[in-house]
Amino acid sequence: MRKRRGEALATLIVTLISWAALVILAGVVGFITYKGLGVISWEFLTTPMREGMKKGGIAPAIVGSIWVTLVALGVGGLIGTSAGAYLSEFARHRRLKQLIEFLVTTLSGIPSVVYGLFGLALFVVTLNFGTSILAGGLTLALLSLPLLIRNAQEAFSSVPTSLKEASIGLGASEMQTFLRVTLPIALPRVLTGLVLATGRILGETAPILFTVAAYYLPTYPRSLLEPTMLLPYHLYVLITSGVNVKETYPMAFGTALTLLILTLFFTLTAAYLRFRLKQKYRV
Amino acid sequence: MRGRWGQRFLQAAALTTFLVLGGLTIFLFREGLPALSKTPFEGIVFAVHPDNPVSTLTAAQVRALVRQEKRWQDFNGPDTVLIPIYLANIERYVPPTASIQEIRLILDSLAEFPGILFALPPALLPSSVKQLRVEWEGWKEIFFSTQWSPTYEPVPAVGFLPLLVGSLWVSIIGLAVVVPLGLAMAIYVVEFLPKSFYYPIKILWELLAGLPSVVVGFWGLVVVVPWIQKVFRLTAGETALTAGILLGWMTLPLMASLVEEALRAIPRLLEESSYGLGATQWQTIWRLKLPYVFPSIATATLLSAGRILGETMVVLMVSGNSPLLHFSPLQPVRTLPATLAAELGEAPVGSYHYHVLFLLGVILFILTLGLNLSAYLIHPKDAQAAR
Repeated sequence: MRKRRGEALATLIVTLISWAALVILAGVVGFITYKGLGVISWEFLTTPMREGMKKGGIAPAIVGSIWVTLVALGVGGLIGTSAGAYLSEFARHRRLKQLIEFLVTTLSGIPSVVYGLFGLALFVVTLNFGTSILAGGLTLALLSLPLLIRNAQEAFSSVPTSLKEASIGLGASEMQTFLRVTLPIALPRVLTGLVLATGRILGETAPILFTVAAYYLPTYPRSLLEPTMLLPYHLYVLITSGVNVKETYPMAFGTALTLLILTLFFTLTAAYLRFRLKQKYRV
Repeated sequence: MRGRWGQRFLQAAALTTFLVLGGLTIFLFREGLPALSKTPFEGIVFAVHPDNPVSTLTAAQVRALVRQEKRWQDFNGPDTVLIPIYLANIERYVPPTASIQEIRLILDSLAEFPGILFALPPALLPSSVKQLRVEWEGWKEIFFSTQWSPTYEPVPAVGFLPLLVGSLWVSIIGLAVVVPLGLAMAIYVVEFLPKSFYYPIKILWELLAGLPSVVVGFWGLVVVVPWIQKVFRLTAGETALTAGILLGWMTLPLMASLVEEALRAIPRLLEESSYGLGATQWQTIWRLKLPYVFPSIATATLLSAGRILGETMVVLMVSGNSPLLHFSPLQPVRTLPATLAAELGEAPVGSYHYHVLFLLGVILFILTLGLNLSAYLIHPKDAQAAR
């Protein structure tokens, strides 16, 4: 009898812990939404900041974040998807494949701030891009490579071998099979990976600190070689180094909510797509 | 033919992983290693009054003198007040509008004080003074000094121990949060969660994993910091404890999902044998399942440690940013990544400060690499599955 009560208690504890962790998550999202909702307006989203960031909107930060994310996704998506395709479909040497997979794992464990250092040394200083959208976008592309490669590899591997073999059997070359059979079928999963990466890239702060972020630059970028404001860094600036922190707090809550909505939207979409795809192919 | 070029392209893309890791290593070391060979006061000459018998000092001794923790007498010098003059404090003696000639005149007259200590470019140095040799041993200063104030003039302090201790505190507290709670979450999801709740809870885990760290830091600053301050009756709520708790919470999805996968992979036969022998559900969990997935738990713990050690923004915002050596988790700390984020923007490229920060990057890189490699060695599949 005592034993059974102990078991019930253990069950209760793990249940409470599991839900508490998620209640806190709801608390964070709810708190930011509650405080930020009143700040967000059409004007807030579409006009530049004014009066030392106390008034106006955050449009330059939104535009900057979009630019950097596009560069990162363009470069990272192309390299990551190709590398994933190679690992899944074309890697003939088992050793080489294992080595690359090991490197991908290693890269995914490197802290994002270290990628920031690398981006500063390589893109900003050595290649002389300066603090720019290009440098920041490329840094974030490198950072998201492991995630993109692994997602693409899984996507291509999930295409049934029977389909690939049927295509080869009909006389198609490996490349034709890949382009006309494997790629179209795997595409939804590849795109899901890109959506997930978008959410991660939008929220990254440490790698952009020294490669692209501008402290205060209330204009829209005109070329890839200009620095820009970005949402996460703008939030950080508003909280920690505003001239009068109390006056910039409402702006900070508005920025935090905007950032939260964007990242959660992409993460949620990716999660939804993934679970739907899982159900679809589990015949 | 086109197919072959296509394959070459895909192969090249896969090989960029070599370039990325190789380039990362090369650039980190190339920018970091000069910190061990260079001195922070290149182009600066130290000089004292010609009657001052002191001819050689270590960097730490100069620092102590300028901070007035020591006096000239402590180094067999004259029994007088020390007057340090270096680029950062020269405005105290020289008006900003002064011409070069006027500056020289003022410095010449200052050189007559017996307790003078100059740290200036040779062009500004008065002719009557005696040069002082200041010894700087880079590796000793970096690895054994317990102070971090890299912009302190005329001799910076670049000991990274306080930062390492800060990182350790935050990591230990973070692990103390993430390991037990993550295990509990994995057990709950595998053993007790009704099936219809499974996908919703997994999506919530993904949301938690995808929460931008700067937003977590903001929330921590506004909500958790005041709470910690009140609960522990502190003067400031920005402590290693605050950062550790938040980081542990953020890392829960990584820990929980890895352990969950491992628990699900336990052969059905084993589980049913345990039940068949009369074991209860919790006896099966404690005595069969957790021991069975121990390698996965170890891997997940190491990966979480790596993640916590490398996290930057939350720590930067809620840990108090105080680069002092503390031995209590209720003190403000500064971690390695937070230092990089806070200072690299202000360090001119190529300066000593810049190189030292890259050396910190090298140290952080090696530490996280070590954690991830050990995780990989224990359980390669799990280490690869983490994202």
